[in-house]
Amino acid sequence: MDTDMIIELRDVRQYFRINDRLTIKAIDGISFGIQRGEVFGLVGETGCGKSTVARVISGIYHPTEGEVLFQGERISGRHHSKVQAQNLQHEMQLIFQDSAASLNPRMTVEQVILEPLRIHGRKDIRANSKARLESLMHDVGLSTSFLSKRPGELSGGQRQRVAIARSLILNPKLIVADEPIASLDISIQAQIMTLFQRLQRENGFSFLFIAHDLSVVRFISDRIGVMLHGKLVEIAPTEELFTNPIHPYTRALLSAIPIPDPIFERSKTIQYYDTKMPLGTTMVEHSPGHLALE
Amino acid sequence: MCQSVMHLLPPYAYIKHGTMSVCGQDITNYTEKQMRKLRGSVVSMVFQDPLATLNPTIPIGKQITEAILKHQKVSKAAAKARALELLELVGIEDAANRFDLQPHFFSGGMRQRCVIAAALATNARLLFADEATTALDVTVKAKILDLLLDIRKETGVSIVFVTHDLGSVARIADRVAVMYAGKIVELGTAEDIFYDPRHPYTWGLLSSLPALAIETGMLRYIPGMPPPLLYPPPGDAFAVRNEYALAIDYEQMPPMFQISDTHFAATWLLDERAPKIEPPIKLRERSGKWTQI
Ligand SMILES: Nc1ncnc2c1ncn2[C@@H]1O[C@H](COP(=O)(O)OP(=O)(O)OP(=O)(O)O)[C@@H](O)[C@H]1O
Ligand SMILES: [Mg+2]
Repeated sequence: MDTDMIIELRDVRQYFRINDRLTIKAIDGISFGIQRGEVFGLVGETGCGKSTVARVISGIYHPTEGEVLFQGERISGRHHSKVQAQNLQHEMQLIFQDSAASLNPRMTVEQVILEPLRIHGRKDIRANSKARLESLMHDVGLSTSFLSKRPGELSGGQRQRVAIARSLILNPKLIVADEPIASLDISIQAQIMTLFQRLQRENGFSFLFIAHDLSVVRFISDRIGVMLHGKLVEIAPTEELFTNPIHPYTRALLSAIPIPDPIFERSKTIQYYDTKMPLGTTMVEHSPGHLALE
Repeated sequence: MCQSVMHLLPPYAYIKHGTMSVCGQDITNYTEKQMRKLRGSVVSMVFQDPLATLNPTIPIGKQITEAILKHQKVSKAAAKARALELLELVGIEDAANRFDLQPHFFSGGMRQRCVIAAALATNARLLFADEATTALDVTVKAKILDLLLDIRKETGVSIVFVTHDLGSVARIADRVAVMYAGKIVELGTAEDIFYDPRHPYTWGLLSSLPALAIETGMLRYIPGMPPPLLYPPPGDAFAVRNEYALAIDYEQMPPMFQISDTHFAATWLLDERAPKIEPPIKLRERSGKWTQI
């Protein structure tokens, strides 16, 4: 048992049976782990199963096959206890693209941020919640005057900061963020990314970061996994992946990154990847930690 | 802005100055009935939020078939075949099998592609794409940009592409308008905007591109946040976030200065009395040096 891993997926499959003719294999045999304090970026085609991975890790879905380990303990399957599930919920926090939009409009910012404490009855943290609240607001770059406001009075970027503060209140060991900046104004996206980077460095939580913007993923991640059709096709340390992509899909993905340079961009040919091509069957290690499906 | 051209704003939204015209017709005071005819036949929209556009209870294939039948005189079977073709065109895998599924069986990005298919179904002459590719991965995004460019070549459709993604702008746009707080602050050809930006907000946008952070490991960003549109500050709305702001920016709105036949910017820095400022971002010098970001 490798306890350096905060989370580990072992040959996880998540199928959705739609009708007699169609079963969607949202995740089709995925194995990877995220180390303590590591930032892991997950990228891949639209509909390849990234959000499903996030949901499986957070226990929203029970995988059809395979197992999920949190700090070496099995959390998948229906066998694990309620207590375990509760523990898991405050050791792991989720931030979604629409987290900001789905904050309860009737609560004040203070109530929103403290809600996880209430749900989990964590009296130890609640005792000094005022001080904790103030330092959190400072951490996410909001003045404490926001505490009495309601989500409707905030901008999208401010709401996302509130959602981040809320996810930090229980000091989670793992944060799963699924497209957390996609719906924000571009000038705010860079602010929030800088915030994520700083918070991760200061608090040392492990971070699963899912996004479409590869430049953003490159900026924040230590390691990146590339998904296609429910499978991981390549996994490598960030700079290794960008300088030495192996799987044709990864190459296609990197060649398609839009560059802010009109003359270059207009004449650029993108190496499209025929998604009907066989993906490969086995993960082969090319250099330490750099695996690709062949 | 798209919503305003499409007359989709709530009744309390009104146009203070100016006129809007589509294909030479002034539409500022069009009635709802005239607009309904216009929407879809002349202009078509692709929205950022696919769930707002798609009906959650009707199968995707049926929704697109209906869009075709509404705007084109074809048989039901032909419309259905065209709908399937469009779904394949925008890259829905297994489209035939998914044709009869409701939107919630699709991932976010797949729904977005369906909305694009529905917009293409109308054969419009003006296409508004409002954050149409935001939720898509880069290969699909590039495919859809190329698809839009192909469609333009074939049909001559004009495209207004609203986005946060400057990389996509570089690929698709002939001309670019940079908007801040409800106003166009800079307007020019794509070359003008990327290689010779003049407005400090444009500088800020280009500087905060994560692609530029790779070498330094530092992401630059514009501090602060956009002002509330309801109570705009006096003077230049960007002044408080602008490190190059002049005293006059806090008092008086800058006019549009003309830089060339194609290039305009609304910043007091272009006034002849203003100090000369070296733009902090030089994409022209990097041009062509982007082998792999
Ligand atoms: N609850 C569900 N029921 C049926 N099918 C589902 C369900 N959730 C996901 N799927 C299907 O599983 C596949 C993967 O979906 P998922 O949302 O994980 O993709 P994604 O990689 O997050 O895509 P995107 O980049 O567009 O967000 C898709 O084909 C989707 O239609
Ligand atoms: Mg997703």
